[in-house]
Amino acid sequence: MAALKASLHGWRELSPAARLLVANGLAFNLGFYMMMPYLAQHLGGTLGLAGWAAGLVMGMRVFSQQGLFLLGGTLGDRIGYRPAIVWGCLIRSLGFALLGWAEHLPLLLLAAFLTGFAGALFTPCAQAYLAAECRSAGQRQQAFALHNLASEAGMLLGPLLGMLLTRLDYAVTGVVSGGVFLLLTWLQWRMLPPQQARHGQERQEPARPAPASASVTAQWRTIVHNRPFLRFSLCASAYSLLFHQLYLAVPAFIHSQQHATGLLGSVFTVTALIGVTLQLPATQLVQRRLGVARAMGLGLGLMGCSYLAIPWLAAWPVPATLLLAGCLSLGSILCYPLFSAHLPHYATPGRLGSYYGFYASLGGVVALLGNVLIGSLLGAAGSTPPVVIWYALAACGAVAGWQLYRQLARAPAHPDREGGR
Amino acid sequence: MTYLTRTLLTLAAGLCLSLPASAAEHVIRMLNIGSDGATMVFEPAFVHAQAGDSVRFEPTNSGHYVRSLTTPDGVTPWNSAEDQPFTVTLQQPGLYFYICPPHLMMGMIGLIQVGEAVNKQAASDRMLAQKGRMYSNSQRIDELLGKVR
Repeated sequence: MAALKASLHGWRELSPAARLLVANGLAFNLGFYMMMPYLAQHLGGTLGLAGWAAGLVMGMRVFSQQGLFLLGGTLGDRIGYRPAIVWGCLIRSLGFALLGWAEHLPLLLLAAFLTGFAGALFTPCAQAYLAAECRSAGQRQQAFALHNLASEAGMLLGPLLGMLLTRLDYAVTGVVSGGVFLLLTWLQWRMLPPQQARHGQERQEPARPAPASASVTAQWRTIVHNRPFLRFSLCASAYSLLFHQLYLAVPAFIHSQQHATGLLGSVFTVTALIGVTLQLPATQLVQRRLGVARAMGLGLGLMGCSYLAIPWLAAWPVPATLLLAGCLSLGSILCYPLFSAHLPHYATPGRLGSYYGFYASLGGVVALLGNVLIGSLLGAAGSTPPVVIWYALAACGAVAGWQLYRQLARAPAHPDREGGR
Repeated sequence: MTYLTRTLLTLAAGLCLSLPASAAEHVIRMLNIGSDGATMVFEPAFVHAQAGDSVRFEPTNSGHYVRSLTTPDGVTPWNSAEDQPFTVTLQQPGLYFYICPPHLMMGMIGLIQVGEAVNKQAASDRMLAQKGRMYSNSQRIDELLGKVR
């Protein structure tokens, strides 16, 4: 209850633009998750595309999003976050409508590219804008926690709505999802002020556009030479690897069990419910007791260790899988909003979008490489995943969490940093 | 003993020796807890059979089935239905390695040797490769391989 009151107070303290950016989390995920879970079935089943073609469409979407986050963020630094967000929403609106309507590979690839590129455009820019709208690190934590809560709610509701609409026709789902993003386009255009707020106490002055004279490559060179930021991003990217196993290693394990077809749905329900119900208390715990360093370290460590439930409770696969989902989600709500909230500590003036973009792209690359490696170890469908996968994931979470804790605990105190540590 | 009697006795003895021994049926039970307290076992886990023998897998406890992972050349792999008895006749000499797929991670494996272990190398390679997928009781692989003659 206290967490709810604090969050309501935090919500009221946010600027109208920041409130819209927080609420975007719900709408973004609502629109996204009503389409994506059913895309593979639509491509392979309804449209009868060959496996390679369906994979190409899915891969195009992932690549054009994960691979272009840096470009999208840099573009936002140059043209301003508001135009980038508005254009991103509009492009995704077209992309999803086209994805639902298209029946032939070239159009499907175009649709996949548009939806991915749109995400690459608005995601880092919306994060940078939200960070810029906050007056302190504490407010950023609160804002990103609320954003995560809204996103989780969207993840919970999106697939349900998508299931109902897809029963009618996937094209209907595409139109509705596109409509959601069209509405978002209008809302961003109307509600985000053309001149972004700037808060003097923010070291990085994130809303200021990057100097036009600096070339893009010089801008990116600055980022890759920022060693503390690279270390932070690399450790934080373990999050992507650990979280994405909910879509790879965990389903593989579940499919190796009998009578477990409903278990995967329960896993996603548990993670979403924990995200929705416990995000606010977790944020309060971080702000009052744990502090950023310990919360990030503990969160990643807990996410990694959650995978030990599988080999250690192998005799009880169903409780083991649910325990994994619960612990993974608890770890996630502890650390995930903090990554986005803390990132501006490393950013240079006017380049916050590029930093968010680089951070997101690195997470995507780590998740991709990790998934390729884990996928190669999984073996034939239905076979028990090798035990080394679970121990490696646990080690990955523990090492990344420890490194992140050390880095943040040693960092000189920032005037903007919150108390509680 | 007359010449005729000796001849008849010799023929009878030869006939008896040339007749194949009657094929045996081995029963392997699929259990959650074995007689020695071990969890998730085929009992017996190792069977030494002769060519022509049959093996019947009994689902004593529910939730089990059997899938062959290694068989001698020319043998069609088997995969039984869950909770159903399953009988297989073993014609080819060699090692037959099998698992209960959902309980492989708990070490529910078994091995049948029919005559000579002609495919020992291939079978042991495949068996050892399963160790990484066994979250407990992986020593059962070594125990089974130790029984191969």
